[in-house]
Amino acid sequence: MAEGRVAGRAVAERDFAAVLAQVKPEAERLMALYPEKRSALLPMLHAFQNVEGWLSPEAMAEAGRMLSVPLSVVESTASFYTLFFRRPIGRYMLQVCRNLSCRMNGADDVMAYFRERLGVGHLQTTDDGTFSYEEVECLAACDRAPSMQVNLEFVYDLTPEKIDELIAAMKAGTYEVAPLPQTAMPARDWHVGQDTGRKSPGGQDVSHPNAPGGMGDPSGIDLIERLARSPYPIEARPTQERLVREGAERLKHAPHNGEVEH
Amino acid sequence: MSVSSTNGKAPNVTFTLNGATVVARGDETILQAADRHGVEIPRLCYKDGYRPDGNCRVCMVEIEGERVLAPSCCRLPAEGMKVASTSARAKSSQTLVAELLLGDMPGQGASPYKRDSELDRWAAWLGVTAPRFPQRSQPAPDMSHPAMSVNLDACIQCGRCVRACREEQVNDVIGFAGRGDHSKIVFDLDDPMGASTCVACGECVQACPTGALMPANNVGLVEPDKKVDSACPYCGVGCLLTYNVKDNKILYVEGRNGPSNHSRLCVKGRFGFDYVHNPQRLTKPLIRRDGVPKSVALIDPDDVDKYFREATWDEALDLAAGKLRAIRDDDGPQALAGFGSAKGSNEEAYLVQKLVRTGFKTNNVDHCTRLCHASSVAALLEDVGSGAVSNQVSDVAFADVAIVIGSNPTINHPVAATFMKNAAKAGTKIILMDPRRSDLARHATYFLQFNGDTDVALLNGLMHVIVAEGLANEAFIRERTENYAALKEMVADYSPEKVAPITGIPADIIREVARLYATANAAIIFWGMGISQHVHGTDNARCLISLALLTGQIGRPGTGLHPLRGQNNVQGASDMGLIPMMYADYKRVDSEDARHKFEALWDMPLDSKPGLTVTEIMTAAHDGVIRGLYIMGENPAMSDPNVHHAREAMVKLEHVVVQEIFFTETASYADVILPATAFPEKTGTFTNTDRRVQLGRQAIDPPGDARQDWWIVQEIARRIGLDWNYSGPADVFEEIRKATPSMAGITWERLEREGSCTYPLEHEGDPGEPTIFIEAFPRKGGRGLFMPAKYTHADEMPDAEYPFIFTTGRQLEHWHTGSMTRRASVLDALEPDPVISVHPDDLTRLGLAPGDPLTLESRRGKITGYARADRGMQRGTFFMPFVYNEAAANLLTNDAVDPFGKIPEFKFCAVRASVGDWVGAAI
Repeated sequence: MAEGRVAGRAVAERDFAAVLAQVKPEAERLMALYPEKRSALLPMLHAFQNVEGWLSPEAMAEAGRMLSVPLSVVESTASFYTLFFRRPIGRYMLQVCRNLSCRMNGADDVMAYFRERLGVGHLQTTDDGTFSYEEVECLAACDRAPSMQVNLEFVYDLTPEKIDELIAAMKAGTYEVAPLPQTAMPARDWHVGQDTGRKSPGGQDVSHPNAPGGMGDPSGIDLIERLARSPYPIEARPTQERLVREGAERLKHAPHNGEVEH
Repeated sequence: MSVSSTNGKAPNVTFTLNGATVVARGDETILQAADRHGVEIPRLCYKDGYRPDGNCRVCMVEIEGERVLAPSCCRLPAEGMKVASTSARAKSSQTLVAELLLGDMPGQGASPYKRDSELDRWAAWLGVTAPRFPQRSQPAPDMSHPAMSVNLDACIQCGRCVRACREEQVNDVIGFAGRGDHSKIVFDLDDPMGASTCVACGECVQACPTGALMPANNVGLVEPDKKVDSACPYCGVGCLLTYNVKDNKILYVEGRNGPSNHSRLCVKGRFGFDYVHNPQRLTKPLIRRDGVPKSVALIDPDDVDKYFREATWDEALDLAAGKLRAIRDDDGPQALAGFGSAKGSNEEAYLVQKLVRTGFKTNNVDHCTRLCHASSVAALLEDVGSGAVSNQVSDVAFADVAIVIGSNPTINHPVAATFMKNAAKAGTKIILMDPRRSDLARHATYFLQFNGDTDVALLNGLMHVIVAEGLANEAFIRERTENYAALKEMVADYSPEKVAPITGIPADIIREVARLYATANAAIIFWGMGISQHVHGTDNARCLISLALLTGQIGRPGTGLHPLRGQNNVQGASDMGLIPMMYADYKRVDSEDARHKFEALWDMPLDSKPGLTVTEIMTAAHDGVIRGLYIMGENPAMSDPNVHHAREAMVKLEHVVVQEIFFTETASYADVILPATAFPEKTGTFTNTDRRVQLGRQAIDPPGDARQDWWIVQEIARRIGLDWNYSGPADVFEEIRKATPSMAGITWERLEREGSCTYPLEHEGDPGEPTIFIEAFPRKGGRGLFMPAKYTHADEMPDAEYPFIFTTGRQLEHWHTGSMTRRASVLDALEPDPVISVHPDDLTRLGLAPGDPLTLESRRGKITGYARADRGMQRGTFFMPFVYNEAAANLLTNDAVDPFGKIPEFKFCAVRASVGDWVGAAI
């Protein structure tokens, strides 16, 4: 690839042969790990992304060739995961959740606000190379919707103010997050700042579902009794209709304030 | 979710559908049972013959006692089940799905790309008109492919194209990428279709219910005047298809559910039809102008006027036949010869050989089988008594192991290859043996990239292992074969250790492959021109036959020997006796019984001396022995080896009659040119590689004054003194039944009704025999013959002066000498220029980049083409298709022939390479 500018930044001309040479030992290790070569597809894609910082078409083609996996399967796989970046990315990779729970909790406003503030849309990078922006499927953080990830670290309960703060801190270089590429599996012991903050109603004061007496406890307590132990009286649990209605109501009252009244 | 096929063995199931009692066959889904009983249930992601996917949810039905609705396309009914497809709940679910999908269509209404969109049909059926939902974002159109348009704004993501591409044709180009409403259909790495690895089989176009994928140029919006069920004019697979015709023009082609193709087609069959409408079609008889001498240089079809003048049919036929008759009478019958074509029908082939045998009074009649499978047929006739395949391609599904050797089926027999790939996915172990790695390698359990020209060594090595390890089928050998001792003695000398350095295949791999083949319950062998086109082609085929006999892998479904036939009627043309040593049904001309039979049938004495073959005729012409040549649909000026020699020979001929649809390279040497009909303009029978006799029906009228080929042959026959009065193809076919006992039971009426019959079919009403050699081989004594073969090498080996190996073949988009495909707009757009495949390392060695001109030179000629990097090539070898007249590969090839099959060595000669300067323009 000979282009001089990638994602708005001037970059040195890529030398894929050098990338390949660097990935090769890991690639050979991975291919030897599985009885079926194709099983190594995901780790192989990570191996390339770890070296290049993104997943280039050359890397995807090479991975497919090494593992005898068709290009379309490589594309289907890589495009499914938000952890693969299929274009060069900026210093901060912002991935805003666009799935159901977040949307019911105002993600449409959040996305509109990000687009306006950054001046870029889905899968785009700002001209200064600071921000890459994506709207992604469920990040599995519904309890703190609307949510996002910055360089794969979670940020919850998004509000316009919070977004302003984030952007300001990132521009000033004071935002604390590990730089990418770090697409080796994110550490499991995430430290998420301000995690003690108030949670959304569904999560409040509910014991862990698998803890004794929790919803998933298989100790023999029947469903009615478990529901009775819940902080909500059975009859007061929000119905689906109510959630939809409230969600629609909140959307009307933009700007979204991040707090949920109940 | 998947519906497992139980071959109809599962018991029938009785259930209730909308209150009526319905009996489903054991493996039928609710939807299929409903279809059979005339109950309509909407469906979009379901397509007959494809794996039901159950993703669109428009076929939901209510099943009594079940909490949720079920997709009827992938749900099997159970005994006593009560199913409602029209209940309020089912209907409301079906309607909402249709409404949501319609809401995403352009303009939220009817598909703008297709007249008969299935979504439009079902939405109307369900009463959906104006969707209440907003439209999703609409992807941009992709018009990058010359054959297909991609309008994903009409995509409903039913995944039929994905199944078409991955599961039916197994090309794996189309995928589903992204998630949520970002998910979309992609080609490769989300590339434009025209830049992807798409092979343009068009299966996705045929599968798409809404027109998001369509043939290019909006032909889907034009209503055809008529649909004509016919067959494909290209390779030997014998796909059946439907021509959609308007105003005598073919609009588009659809695959038809034929026994050999299951509605599948390839790029040539589906998109390579418009050659028939090419302005270069011959429409008037032409006669060489007085005083314009012949020369070796080819004539540009646009300059024909300088060399030829138009004539009436009477004048042209009188001259064509009169001169042939004069040569026969003055110089004797042996001064005449005729070439028929494997692209003509059985009826045409039969008439041409009858014309030569009874009119020219010689057996000098041949066709291009001499250049493709003559050696295979020689070996098969010798060892198992029949030159046709023992089992059909579809048998690969019943095989545990399939050897594919010297064949590149994804290129040369693309639809047959899909069945091999399907079988591989279902567990059949494919052993691919080829000096050149082809696409099938990806699906193979073993890929043996052996050194070209070492087939006999490799195959003897396999047989050595089988004998040495006691894996030979002793009972089969004892009861059904002869001459085993000689084979045993021969292969004893070919231990894997000895063979390994010759073939380049490690001894252990040879052992593993031998064991795998020998111990399989059923193992089949497919081969192509990589086996036959060598000076040891007959020996190569003998080894394959011995391998099958040695292990008893023949005579049962899923076993056997299958030389994949190249042309749509190369099997039939040979069956019809369009070969110099045999009459119809492979009866030798030097056998008195056979000659008497045909003398009685044709009521005239016949020559008992076998005639000359294609290459021998050219040599005889060069030497002045042959003086008159009648060529129907062949193009020896491109297809013959060492083609400069062949062109010189034709210049020397006193009288050349060419019956053609285009001004081919061969027409440059003609005295009279007779404009004939293309495949879609004629009716006739064609016999495919599976021994299936299939009916091609006339779909359009021939252009201008072009005439039916059978009529032209008959007019020539009459003018040289034969009393022929055939009324048409059906009339000729009646005579063929008399001449060919193995086809005697096939009637024209049955062909019109069924479209396809497998021979042997000796008596009317017989079902035909897909598997032969079940109990005996049609040889004297009924036994198969082991014919041991000794490893020898090619006629011309690389040396210091010519250090590279040159090999030839076909490419997917083009057909043989290109007379049709280079005039088919889509095919020519896909592969416009002469390309030479080279290993990237050799390119580097030569200091070339892909696309640079590369000059190759052999002892016989010199050509320049564009270098194409191909990692499938062996280092030191060049491959080139022989289709390009601006760089005719056959200028380089060696005309040395196999002593038995008389087939030239197209697959191996020595060349040297240099940086090329420029590539000429096509003539």
